[in-house]
Amino acid sequence: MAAIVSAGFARFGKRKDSIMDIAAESAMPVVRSHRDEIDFALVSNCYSGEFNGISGINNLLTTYLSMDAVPSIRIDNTSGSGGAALFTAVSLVESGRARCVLLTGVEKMSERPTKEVTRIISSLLGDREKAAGPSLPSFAGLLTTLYMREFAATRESIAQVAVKNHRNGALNPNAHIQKVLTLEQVLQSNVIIDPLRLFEISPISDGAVSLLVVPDPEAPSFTDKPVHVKGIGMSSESSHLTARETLTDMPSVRRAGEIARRESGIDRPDLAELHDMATVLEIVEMESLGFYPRGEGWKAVLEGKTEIGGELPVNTSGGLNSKGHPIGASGVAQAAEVYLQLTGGAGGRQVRDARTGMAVSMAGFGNSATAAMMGLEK
Amino acid sequence: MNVFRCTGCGAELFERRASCPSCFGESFEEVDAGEPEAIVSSRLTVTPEGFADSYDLFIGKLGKARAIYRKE
Ligand SMILES: [Zn+2]
Repeated sequence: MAAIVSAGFARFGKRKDSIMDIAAESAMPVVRSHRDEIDFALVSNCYSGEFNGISGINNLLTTYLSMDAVPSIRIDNTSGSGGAALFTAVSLVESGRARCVLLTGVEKMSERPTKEVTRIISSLLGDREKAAGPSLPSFAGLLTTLYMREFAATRESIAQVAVKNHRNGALNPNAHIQKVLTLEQVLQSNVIIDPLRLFEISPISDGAVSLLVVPDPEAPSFTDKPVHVKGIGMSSESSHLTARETLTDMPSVRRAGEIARRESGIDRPDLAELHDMATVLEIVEMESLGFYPRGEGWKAVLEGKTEIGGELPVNTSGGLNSKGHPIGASGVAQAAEVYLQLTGGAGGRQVRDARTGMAVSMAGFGNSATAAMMGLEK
Repeated sequence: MNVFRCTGCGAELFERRASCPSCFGESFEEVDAGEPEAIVSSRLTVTPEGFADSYDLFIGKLGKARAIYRKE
């Protein structure tokens, strides 16, 4: 299929730098070593028009990096842009149209007031749903109540996701929130969307991540530690939440995961990066992916199964919850975390003997999902 | 509160579409489905620009459809 052979990072957080400088900070370490090989650039970015007043960010970036003649495309699939961009990068090298793709995910959001960011992000909803005044995270608040009601899950089990992800994030130098939290601190933080609290919702962050994607046979000429994309699936679900039967299952995640598992022949990865825009989503996605039976993901969290050292560590990077959620960068960062873990570069949060990992990038509220299964063996 | 009813199969939608998700018919009528019946709600304290700073958001049953609505 295709392999990831290099990764570059620009720390997530509230940054003073321009969007171009943040993107370049992540891309330059990759470009410096492989300038002559890169023949295509993909930029995963959702809101540079709305947040930064620019269009054509893909070509602006290749020019800024002085790769003026390299063709490029911007990929926008809301919060799932990164997964969609990885899917496209893999498809480009598999088809032979490109031999070395620079994939940069970037977003700069923090200059705007929270209410404006909230309005811009809700613009992905249907007209009547949007007119009711929801934020995207408000659906996670509703889902939390529905999930607890349907499966008798405890409030603590949902909040424990934030405890775990903040502990992991504090071990990731590129994460936004560098803070270890107790369960009490999470449950006593301000209510933002009843019943969800401040520390259970991803912060507004800036940041960028870059990857280099090449065909499998070329990978050894770039690095002695390639990470192979062994299966990648993408699926969608209605943009209208009012058209869905339930919110406690994510059919797009389930179908994307099934494709990734079938293509890779790997049923259960050694670790997974999931789209925890809010704590409850991590649990529901684990169930949709079949890691745990429906309605039982919360028990796995309480039993420590999803922690580093547990049977299937989830969001070792800190997840969106603690690492931050610069929209266009998030899905690329998930794949980059799997790359770091499988190449032994994850520092204090390293999962021992990790050989396979999954990254699940989700758009909207499960409006679409991309699941990538990666591994050290080709 | 209104819904969009497919004139082909009777399916009801909260959001307009060009084509019915059940029968792919292309003709709809807008009909009053009464008041929605709440399934779940949440008090929001972070809201989009253009809206009040706090209100209750609901998902409810509306005829054969579901609705999203708020109460301030
Ligand atoms: Zn119909």
